[in-house]
Amino acid sequence: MKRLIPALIILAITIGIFIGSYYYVNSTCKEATKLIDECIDEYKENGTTINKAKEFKDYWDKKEKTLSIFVNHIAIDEIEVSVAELSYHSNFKDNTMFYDSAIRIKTLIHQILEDTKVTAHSIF
Amino acid sequence: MVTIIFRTAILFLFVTIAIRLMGKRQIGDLQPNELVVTLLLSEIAAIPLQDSSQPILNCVIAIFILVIMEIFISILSLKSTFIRRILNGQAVVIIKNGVIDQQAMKRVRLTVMDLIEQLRIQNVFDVSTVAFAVLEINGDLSVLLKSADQPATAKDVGAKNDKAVLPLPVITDGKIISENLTALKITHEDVEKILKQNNLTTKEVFLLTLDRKKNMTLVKMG
Repeated sequence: MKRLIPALIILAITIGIFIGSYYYVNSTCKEATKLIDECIDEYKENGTTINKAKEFKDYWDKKEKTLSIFVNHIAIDEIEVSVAELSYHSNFKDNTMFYDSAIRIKTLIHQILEDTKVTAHSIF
Repeated sequence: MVTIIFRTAILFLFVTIAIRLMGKRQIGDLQPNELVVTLLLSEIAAIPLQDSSQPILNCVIAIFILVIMEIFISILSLKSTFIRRILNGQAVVIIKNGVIDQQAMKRVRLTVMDLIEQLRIQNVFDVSTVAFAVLEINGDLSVLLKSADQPATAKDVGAKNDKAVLPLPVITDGKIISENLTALKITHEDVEKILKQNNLTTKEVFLLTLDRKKNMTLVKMG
């Protein structure tokens, strides 16, 4: 009984951290994907997307520190580099590099989301 | 560099808590499941120290899960003989009345040389003097000699057998340990009296032990 109570407390903390991290990573990644899609749409329509790209960059800068508590830091760093590239390319019209950066960010975010899912693939 | 310092400190803290929660047993006394947890703990704690791209939380969660499993398994083992037998195995009688059980040795994959070595460690050089030798779960061999071969005790020779008394440290490194004074039912004044008799002050004493019969061991500070 002396060890059961700390074990149950630790179990509750672990479950809490798991649920909290799962929802945080999911909601952040979904919001980021939504913002990047909006960037792509605006770029297609107007040829540039400075404001949307800035909005996405600000969002990512705000979230990445907390996200790095739960996600591999290499993935976060890769996205950070791509976000900087996206921000730069969004200033120029009809720049294919913009799409490259956007797709790369979407792929990396999708990978993070996949890693949070509990599947036979992720376990084994 | 600073990251590594923080990571090491955090992991040290969590592994210490984990080991503390598991109990105070020494490595040699560990049950199989405890040994597995101890080995895994050290491996898991090393991962974020070697690879700073790994979030420390993943490692902490893994440590937590191992500790929880270990505690639950040990509680289940306490409640159920069946689970205890499956997880920890069973003690096996290897020698009975001086006769080696070869089938049991094969079952536990113990060679004759291993058995003889274990017996020698127990100061037993003749198998025929062994009443029982039991291979314990942790791999130790417990040996009970036949009555005729057991060393004589004070009771056997009718000697007066005083109750053993435990000497307690009263002063260590020039400092009085008050809780031991209470256990010995003596006061600070009694200690001062002993020191006065030896022309010493508290700070000049490296070690002073006393027992209830007032037997004393005094070591001066070097």
